[in-house]
Order: sequence, then C-alpha cells, then structure tokens
Amino acid sequence: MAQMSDLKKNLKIIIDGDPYTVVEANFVKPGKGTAFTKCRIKNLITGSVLERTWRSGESVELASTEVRRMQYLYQDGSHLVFMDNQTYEQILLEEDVIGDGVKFLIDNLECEILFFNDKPVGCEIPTFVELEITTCEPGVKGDTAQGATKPATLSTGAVVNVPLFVNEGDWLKIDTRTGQYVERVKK
Amino acid sequence: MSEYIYARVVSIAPMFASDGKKTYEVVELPDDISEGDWCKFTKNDGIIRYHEKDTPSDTPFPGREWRKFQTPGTDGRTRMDALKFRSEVLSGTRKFFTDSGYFEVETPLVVSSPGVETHLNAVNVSGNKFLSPSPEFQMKRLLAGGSGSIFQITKCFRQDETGKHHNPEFTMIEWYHVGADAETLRCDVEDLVDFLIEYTGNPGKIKKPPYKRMTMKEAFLEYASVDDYNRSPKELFKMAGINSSPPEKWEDAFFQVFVEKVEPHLSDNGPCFLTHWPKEFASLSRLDENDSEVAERFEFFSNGLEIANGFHELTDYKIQTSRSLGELEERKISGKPLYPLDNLFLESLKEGMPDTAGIALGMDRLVMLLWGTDDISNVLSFNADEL
Repeated sequence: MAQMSDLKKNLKIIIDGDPYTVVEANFVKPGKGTAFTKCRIKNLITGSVLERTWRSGESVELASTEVRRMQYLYQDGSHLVFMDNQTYEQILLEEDVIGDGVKFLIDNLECEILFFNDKPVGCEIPTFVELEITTCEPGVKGDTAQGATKPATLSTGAVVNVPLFVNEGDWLKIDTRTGQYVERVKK
Repeated sequence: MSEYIYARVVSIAPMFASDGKKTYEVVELPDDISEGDWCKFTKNDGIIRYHEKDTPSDTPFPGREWRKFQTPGTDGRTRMDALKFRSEVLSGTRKFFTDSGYFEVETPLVVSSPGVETHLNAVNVSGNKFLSPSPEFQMKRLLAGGSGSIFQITKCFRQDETGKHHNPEFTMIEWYHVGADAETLRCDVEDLVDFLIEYTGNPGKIKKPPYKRMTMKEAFLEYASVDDYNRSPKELFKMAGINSSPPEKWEDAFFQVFVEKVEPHLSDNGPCFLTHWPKEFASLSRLDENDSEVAERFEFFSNGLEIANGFHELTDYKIQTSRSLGELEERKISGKPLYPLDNLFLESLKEGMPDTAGIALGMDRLVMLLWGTDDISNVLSFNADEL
C-alpha cells in the first residue's frame, strides 16, 4: 500500500484489479483545506487514460509488476517479437504498446518488457539508440552554435533533424523519448 | 606568444570545437579524439591547433547550468529570460504599492508559531522554531502597532507541497488595506494585475480586468450541480457525479467536489473572484454581517489556479481565539504535530487591530501566468528538486 503523497509519475498501481501507470500527478490544495493529488492514470492493458483524485490519507494499492530485459527480434504483422536471452522464451507484443519509440527499434535491441501477472503489457526501449543515416543532403561546414538543421532518414525509416555537418552513412545517437538527435558516434 | 583555449570537439569532419560561446575551426585532431572530448588548443596567428586532451573539470557541454538557463523553449524564450521578467514583476509590484501609499515591511522568516491551521505542515528548524508558512500574524501585529496600510514580498514555506503549481518554498505578495472591505480588496487585485500587465507589457496567459465575481454557492450549482452544499458526503458525491468512495468528513467531501468539479472550471471564461465561503472555512476572516452562514473570504482564480486568498479580517480577539483552539483540537484528532498558539498575535487583536482587508497572492503563479507558461519551475531560479 502507498499513500497519496507517494503518487508520482510512472508509479504502477492497481484499481479494480487492473494495473495502471500514473501518467501525470498534480498536487492540489485548496486554501486552508485538505490536500489532494489529481492524477491522470493509464490502464497498462487497454491503454485507456482516466482521471482520478486521491485525498490526503487515502491509500493506493501498488501493482507488483516485473521488468525483464528482452531482445527485439522481428516484426510479425502488428506484433513485435521479443526474446529472453537467458531462457530463449519468446513473447509477442502489440505494436502500439511501444508508441512513437517503435520507429527506433532495430534488430537485437535490448528493451525492458513490463509484465503484470506474467503477461507482457509494456515495453521500455533504451533512452538512447545508435542508428545509421541512409539518406540526407551532403554535409556542409556550418557554425554548430547557430543550430541550423536538415532532415535525415535513418535505417529504420525514422526521420530526424540533424546539424548541417553530418553525412549519409554517419551513425547518430538518438534520444528515443524526444526523437531528437543527440550526437554523432563513431562506428 | 600563443594562447591556450579550452574547447570541446563538436565535430570531427569538418573539425570544429566550441567552448559554449564560440565555435572554432581547428586543424589536426589525433585519431583517439572523438566528439565530446574536451581539449586544450593553441591559438597562433589565428590558427587553432590541437595541443592535448584535457578536461578542465567534469563539465558537460554546454554546462548543465548553461543548458538549463539558456536553452530556448518551444516559444523561443529561455528560463533566464523568465527570471529577468520576474525581476520586472517584482519592481512593478513595489512601484504599484508604494505609489498607492503603502509601505513595504519585512517580517521574520523564522517564527515561534507557524499557525495551527489543520491542513498545514510547517518546516521545523532547530530550537522549536519554524520557517514561516505565512507572514500574516506578524503583519497584523504591525497593524495593531499603527503601521497603516502595508505590503510585503516574502518567502513562505510549506512542507510536502510539491508539484507543477507548488513549491515548498514560494514567494508571496501580501498586503493589508486599512479601512477596506472585501470588495475594495478585490478591486485592488484588479488594479495590481492591470498595472503589472501595463508595466511589463506582457499579458501572457492572464486576461485584463474587470473580473467576474461568483459566490461559492453559485459556483457549486453551476459547475457541480449541487444546489446546497450542506449535505452528507455521500449525497454531495452523488449529485456532483463523483464515483470514488466519499470520505467521512463533510469538509473533505466539500473540498473534493470543489477540487474535482468546481475549481477546474471557475476561470474558464477569464479570471474570477470566488466569494462568500462557508463559515466552516472562515479561517481568519469575519462572518458576513447579513448572513452568518458565510464568511467574508474570497479567492482569486485564473487559468484554473488559485492565485490569491483574501479576507475582510477578523479583528475580534475572542472569536479568533476560539477558532484557533478549535483548529488545534482538529490537529490533535487527526494526529498532526501540535504547534504552539501565537499568543502575541492573539493579544494584538485584543489591543485593537484596525478594520482591515488583507490578501496573500502567490507571486510565482502570477509571474507564471503573466509570462505565459504552465509550470511554476519555469519562473523559479531553482525548484526544490534542483537543489
């Protein structure tokens, strides 16, 4: 059990038997009144988002979830196939569970798969991935401090904005949370 | 003579390095240098040559602080821009009040009694002292001492209050208008906001006055479909359409309906003064002369947020003392730490505090709205998580 004040973004809780993750937690306190935490919570199985308010003193049931590191193998229709490198167990995950990050998935990428009651319900892909540029305009000398950019297509098909000096064939470090270029890496 | 430059390699081909202010084109880089490395370069006749790999300190690039304060947000403005704007709001506020005949006071931040309000957690400091959660007691003692109208811009401290619109340490603009009633004080708020919009030239997200007035009763009917809030917690929740289980105490149910149904919509069509609070929440305000069920307390809302809380101040020593004792009793029942009563404040009421209307306005939230952002951290130098 957790308290209202423990409600923070990404906390996994159970409501009516379903696992939820806290998407947004806002502390509110009417002048001279009880404190509340207003949350937006997301059902980890259905993906539906709803709003719930907890009073100071109310408790919250925590969801016991397990995170396992698994390797991405390939896409099968709208499903993605992952494998546990220790047990060789394979699982299927719906594509939309991953959200926008799916466009940065490359073969053999190690991801963190979230299990609730032994069922895979979520996937966390690494914050940074390294991908090769397949298409972009040739590099030009530029003042990097000015921040001029151009679009580049990566090996997974994702398009990101990059500084002017990078070239086709360069490898880039990408932040999967924002989909933004971080830096060029040597391969 | 050649000079040395510390810079970080930002590009290998072509070869560029930057110190965060200036980007340099460099000649020769050894193979073991990669992007991100800090190096020492020599500058000779305008030519910048690699000298050795050397990190001046463990500084990321551009430095963490530089990134935090100088990276433009989606609107192209930086947090440093916001801090400069905040400084303008501060000087504008001082100008507004001193031009209106107030004088600025400073009261201590370390106090013996943080007040006995039921839902307030004060920050304890050593020797049975507390960081002041509000300057009201000391300012009222000044009023009893013949100050006349006064204002203060000060820090307040409230433990466990953290979030997008809360920080455990925040800045309050608090003023006391001698001889004024609640409506005059509401006009003061309109004048101040109007003045600050003109002074800073930046309306941000807040509309210009005049602002709507609405009673608590009207607001409950309009936004929560509750015709009369004097009902059981269960009935209140049912009428307001809240599905979770109702609390035992009426006060908690009232505030939950308020927080879930009323507050988010109060300022849908522009800022609003919410007036005539139930007598149970009179706090330090007097009861309405014509209707003893409600208090002369109001709050000012804009963009779904409480910005200020004003009272036609209670000056009756006996009533204030019995309210304080009642709150202390509530704290005892709910197992909260028992703070000492501020007897010097209570005695000052006995000695005689002039008829006054007073208000506390959350300066960080006001700056946030004038600046046009939705996170209080954007207008703070450092929030509690950044320390």
